[in-house]
Amino acid sequence: MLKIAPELIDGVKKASSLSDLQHYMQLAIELEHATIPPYLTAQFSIMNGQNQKIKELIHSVVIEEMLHMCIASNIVNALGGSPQINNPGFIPEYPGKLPMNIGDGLEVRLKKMTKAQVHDVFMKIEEPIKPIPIEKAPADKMIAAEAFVPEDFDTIGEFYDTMKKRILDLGGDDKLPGDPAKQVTSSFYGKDELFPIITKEDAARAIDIIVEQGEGATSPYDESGELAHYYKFYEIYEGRQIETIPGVPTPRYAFSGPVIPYDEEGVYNIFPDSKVEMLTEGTQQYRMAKDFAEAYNKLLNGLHQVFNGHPDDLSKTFGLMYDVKLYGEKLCATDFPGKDGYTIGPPFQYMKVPGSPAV
Amino acid sequence: MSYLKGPSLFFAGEFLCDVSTVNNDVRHYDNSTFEARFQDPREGQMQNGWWNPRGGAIFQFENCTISGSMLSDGTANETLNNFPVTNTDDRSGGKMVDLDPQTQMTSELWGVKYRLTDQDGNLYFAGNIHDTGFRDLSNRQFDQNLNPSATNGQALGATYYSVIQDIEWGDTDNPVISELKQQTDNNQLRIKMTVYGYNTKDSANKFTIGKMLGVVTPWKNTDPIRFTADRRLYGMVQKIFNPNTPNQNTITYLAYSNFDLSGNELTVDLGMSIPLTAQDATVNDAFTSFTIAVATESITAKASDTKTDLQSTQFEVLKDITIANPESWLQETDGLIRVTLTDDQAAKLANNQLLILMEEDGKQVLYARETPDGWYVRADQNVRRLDVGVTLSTDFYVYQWGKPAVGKQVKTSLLPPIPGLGGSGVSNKYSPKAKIPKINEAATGFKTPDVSTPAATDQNGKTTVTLTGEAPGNPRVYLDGQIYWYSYGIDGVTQLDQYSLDYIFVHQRNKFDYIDNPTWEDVKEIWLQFGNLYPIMSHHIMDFSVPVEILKRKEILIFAFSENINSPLYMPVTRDLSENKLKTLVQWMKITDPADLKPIEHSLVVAAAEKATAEEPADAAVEKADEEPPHPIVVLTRQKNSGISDTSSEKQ
Repeated sequence: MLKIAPELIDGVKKASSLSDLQHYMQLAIELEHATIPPYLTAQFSIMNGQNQKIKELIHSVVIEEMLHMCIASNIVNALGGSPQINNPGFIPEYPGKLPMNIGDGLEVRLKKMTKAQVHDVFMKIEEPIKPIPIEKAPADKMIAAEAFVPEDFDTIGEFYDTMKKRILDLGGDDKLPGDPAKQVTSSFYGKDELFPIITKEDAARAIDIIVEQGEGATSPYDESGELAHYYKFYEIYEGRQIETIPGVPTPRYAFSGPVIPYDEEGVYNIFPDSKVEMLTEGTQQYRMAKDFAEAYNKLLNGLHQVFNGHPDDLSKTFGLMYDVKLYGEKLCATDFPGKDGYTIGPPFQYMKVPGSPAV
Repeated sequence: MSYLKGPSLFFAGEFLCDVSTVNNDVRHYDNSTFEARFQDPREGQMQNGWWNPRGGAIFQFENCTISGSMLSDGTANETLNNFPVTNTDDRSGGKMVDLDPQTQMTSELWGVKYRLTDQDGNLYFAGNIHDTGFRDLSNRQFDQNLNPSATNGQALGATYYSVIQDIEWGDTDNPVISELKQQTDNNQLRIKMTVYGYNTKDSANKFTIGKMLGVVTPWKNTDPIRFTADRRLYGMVQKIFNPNTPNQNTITYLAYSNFDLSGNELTVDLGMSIPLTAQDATVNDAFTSFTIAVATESITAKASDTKTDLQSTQFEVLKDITIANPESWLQETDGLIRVTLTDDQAAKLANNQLLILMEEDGKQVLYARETPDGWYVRADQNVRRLDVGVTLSTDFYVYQWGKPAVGKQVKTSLLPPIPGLGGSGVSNKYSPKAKIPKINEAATGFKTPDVSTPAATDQNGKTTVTLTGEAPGNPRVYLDGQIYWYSYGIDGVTQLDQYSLDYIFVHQRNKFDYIDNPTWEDVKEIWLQFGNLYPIMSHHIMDFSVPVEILKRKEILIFAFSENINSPLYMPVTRDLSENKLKTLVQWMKITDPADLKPIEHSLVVAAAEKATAEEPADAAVEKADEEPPHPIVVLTRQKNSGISDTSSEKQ
């Protein structure tokens, strides 16, 4: 079971003002962001036209993680804080631990798409307090799938739950203290997903979305009927889509849907945790890796601006999101000089963009 | 005002330009004959999708820094040296785009920003570079025998003239920045960039990287945007290759240079013209000793492969120049030569031609000269995208001896039809099967754009011509509209040197009525063409030939197709859709339910290729290709009055 440092939940519980909570929500922004590099690395490693369903599933999780990052940033703003998105410590070291020491030392690496990476890392990151058992296909055999047995409950879900309660406790009946003009929305997310957080109830509703989309609640599906992240990854691992078993009084679920094909040959063998400095300066490969890292850091710079008083500029960062994807996929298809059999993985690492302010 | 005087920032470094090259061959626009291999890099005799089929049109500065600066009194200032010159720190870079596959020599920058900070990222100023296309394209790199040659694959270089607009100034009291801010009009600065040494070899470490020199100076309200009000030198020594063949190729040494005379200070920009080496695009030693002179009689010799030597009575030496550390000079000064003249010399040069001479076998050979009588005319808005019924303006400026010429009449003229433009220059059994359309003519029964007769030039030497779009009748059949090139001159001026491509380039779009309720059939050919030409999209984003794939991402596409044309996110990146076609595509995305579409099992690119193969056996294809006349590399060898010409076979 994924644990987070207990003192964090303690800290949230002991917060005596909304401003005390800003620090903890900042950590939440960092955590939501920290899941994106490993997921995107797996997604980019899939060859063009191969393992399409898997690619789509991972991509759909990434889109929601970006949403969660936006929600958490909106909450920091609503609490009167300033989200910090582009400082050198914002991007975790890979391999390394996730923010909040989540997973009690779970080491996250940037590796290609494999079922092991999905099972051992992605499902662990997204694991609910109490996973809903998904039965193995065929459905009529009703064999309960293996589920992780929770050992204790210091989870990210509990962290968010505590945060929600504390905001409801500490927030007055009026608006939250933050400047509403800093709230970010986008036509690319539903109005019921990314909305301005003006009141404590808005914040509570937003936190519910993060938890439901990530871990699921009483069902593997969130409110919009989309599978929670944990179960999407579970589908990839099992190679079958999840379905609700028909004709049973209590909802039950099984891997009885269409097969999700997985072809190992359709994945580039990227070198784990590739870094720009592993390549030789002056080479084309070095430049490609640097361009990737630079685009990624520009994107974080752009998002930092968006969440610090320029909410209308979100669309201006879209180009960088495509640059990251484009450069990342091109790298994954490029041989890693000196590392036989490997291609270059996308180097998600801090890099000061020339001409950018020191932070 | 000239960019060669006043407070100036010089910068140098590299640029990245990841242009797509499937669209370099106009025949690739024919959906019915498109083959899947046209999306692959060229291989042996197969040109396929040329040297960078997966390019994405990105343009950005790389490793550019301030190399020096100058205050308005002419003193050098080093306070900004080594400061980074970048585009943005939180946006994507700009784009480099051709008007059309049949006009690739005026590649434009769109959505490029300019940002100057100190090493810590403190802003000095930032703004948007106005869209602008290549000018003064010429061969820059030469081997030991002074034949055009480039290890990097592209021997051509060019100049961008533009302005930096909407400037945000940092909080600084730096004297150079303060003078720039104080002396410029309309919160916009002049920028001129010279690009050269571009690398098209995909195995090279510098693939898609080129070298860049730049200068930023004040701009005045009376100045044009896309060129500068300077006096000009034109190269006079040429070399002709493959004479009497369709592939005739003429190059000119020191083809185009600007200069300025202010008071007694003469400044000549040789950074945009000095020959460079084939190996690494550094200054070619053969051109580092020369004489700058003023003509004492009108020098009317024309550019030729036969050298002209001048008698000592025909000129007066202003200064013998030897460039001691040529590469440092180029990088640190933008390649400027500054000479302080005597009063007498300055008075003579005020209304007599500047010359560059080189001593060869005891003779003074004429390498470059100003136009006789000092005339200069240029169009500002020289790249036009014209819809039917729309009227666009192009401003012209006429100068004599660097001063506005009042009361002059500018004349324009549509060039005659040109065949064979926009092919690969290689004709063999692998060549695309589509025919190359001619440019400069409307279909039978249709008209070319209506071009107005301008008034005489005003006190700024300026006059305006309007172009009104006329339906061309789809003369090119498989790609939209027609390309028209208009030359121009000054009425009554018989000897006028010009850049060999000083035209107004017009893409006249086809008449297309907006469709309120479009179906896939209405928009299919447009999407399929994008899918064919830009494999970067199908490999990384979406396959434009599959309607369901488009609709899956319609929110972001509608966003991009609705952006302002100056945005780096604008789609289509090529900016080649008429307004009605663009609106129809957006409408199709908005109203179409994917469930209503017929299932399409695989990409239409593959389908088209399979269809072509099935219909025509390989032998027949070979026969057909053999019937085609050889394609001239590019028909740019127009002999103007000056005889100056240039040839390019590839776009940069």
